[in-house]
Amino acid sequence: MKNAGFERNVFINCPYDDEYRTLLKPLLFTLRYCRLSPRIASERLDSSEVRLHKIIEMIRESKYSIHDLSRVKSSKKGEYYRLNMPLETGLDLGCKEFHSEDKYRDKKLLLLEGERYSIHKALSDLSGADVKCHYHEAEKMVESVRSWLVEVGLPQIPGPNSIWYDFNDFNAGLYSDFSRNGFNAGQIEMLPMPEFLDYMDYWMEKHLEDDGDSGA
Amino acid sequence: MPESKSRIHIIKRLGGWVVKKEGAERATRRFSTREEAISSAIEYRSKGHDLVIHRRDGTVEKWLKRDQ
Repeated sequence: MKNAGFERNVFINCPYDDEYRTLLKPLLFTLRYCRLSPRIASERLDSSEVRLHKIIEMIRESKYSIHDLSRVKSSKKGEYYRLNMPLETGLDLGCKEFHSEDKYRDKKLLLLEGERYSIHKALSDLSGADVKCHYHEAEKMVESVRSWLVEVGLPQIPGPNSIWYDFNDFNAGLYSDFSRNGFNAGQIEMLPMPEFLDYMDYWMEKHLEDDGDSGA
Repeated sequence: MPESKSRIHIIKRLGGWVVKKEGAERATRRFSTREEAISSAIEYRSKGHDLVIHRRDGTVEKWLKRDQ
């Protein structure tokens, strides 16, 4: 996804495993639909880049950030809990609090959880932060992110029905266009993220820009 | 009519499932279960519409072509 500048960039801190794609896709779509530019670590596949440096760069370039902490807990006995996401949340909070430039004081952070109040149980220091629950559902992800964008004061945010219905239409377009090009259903589901993002931009341009409004 | 406008979608929404024409702002009909929504929408195929059945996460599970 393109760097749209500090005021439009949204840093995404989330898991990048296959299971999470069901939530990542609607999250990315909602942001792009609202004319924001999501920045994710897998947006470009350059193995020579040190991951942490890439993340710090994206935090520095983004006024907004979304930290999904719904998957930090180990899911079975003997499995480690995941520390990357809390680490990146801490880096972002540190940037907001300690950076010498004034613009970083106005950073806006959203914390996402999968079960109500789970973040406060694990990270009570974050009490008072903006937390929303997506209940591990794509539809709720759209609604949570959209509500937060309204709450932080972004103008002309489309309604939740528009975003969710258009996300479903977008998925049909993706399926149709890639099937026509010889992809099977599994390959379409697992498209590399840069390819998925490119198609999303193409779809948005084709379906929304022509409307002359925000797509609401 | 452009091809995409002739698609009918079965979409999860607010605890139920809706039947919606592509590009429409509102759903045509609402049902408690996906099966009910599919049964209701199947008639559209004979009227020249493709039927796109979505999963809970919005991705496409099944695409039923219009009757020829």
